[in-house]
Amino acid sequence: MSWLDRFKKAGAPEADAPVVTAADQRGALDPRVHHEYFVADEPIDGRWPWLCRVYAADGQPSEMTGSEETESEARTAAIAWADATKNAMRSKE
Amino acid sequence: MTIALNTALRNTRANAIKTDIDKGGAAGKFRVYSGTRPASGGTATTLLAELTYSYPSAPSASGGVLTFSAISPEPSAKATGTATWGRAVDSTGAFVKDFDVGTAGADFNLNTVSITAGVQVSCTSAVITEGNP
Repeated sequence: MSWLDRFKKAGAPEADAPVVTAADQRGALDPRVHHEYFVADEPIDGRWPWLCRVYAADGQPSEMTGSEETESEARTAAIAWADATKNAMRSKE
Repeated sequence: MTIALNTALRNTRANAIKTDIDKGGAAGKFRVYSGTRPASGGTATTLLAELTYSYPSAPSASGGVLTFSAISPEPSAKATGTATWGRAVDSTGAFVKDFDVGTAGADFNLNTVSITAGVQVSCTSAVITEGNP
């Protein structure tokens, strides 16, 4: 016990108690912003079509479509577009 | 006309849903919306809440019935409204399936369909029965 403890009030938190802080919200998107995407079940003319929607906080959707050589590339392309669109929204908020 | 499927085929169909929800390599999401349910995969209406499946989302189907494992609640609803339908997506946002929601007797049952922004929303049961139960 140090000499400072004599000033401690009853029920005061211990110095080594964990401190909980809120996550840093700087640059965070509105939690209502979300995306969804669709990849065709099978290729059409040898390519995999995709469609991606990003919903803004007010529910307004933005859409983009494309087609890639493989299903995996179609998923990647859709996610990349969603990320880019969200980043653009983030810079406007 | 009623289609009769054998139990193995019903399980295969049910397990395909579970596989798709888990396809992103992490826990999928169940999004709850208000408004008129769109055609399958159609443009969503107002997002009220987003619940999180377990990963994997469910054990294998049995008897043509897929019973989801515990689903984490949405701690703070994103908007106020009446929940009418829901959409399952994998962890990356890939569309899987649209569902009706309710408080009993629906594919996906919530603690309430009268959702208030900032209030917790939880799933009370989520079961898919494939084919002819």
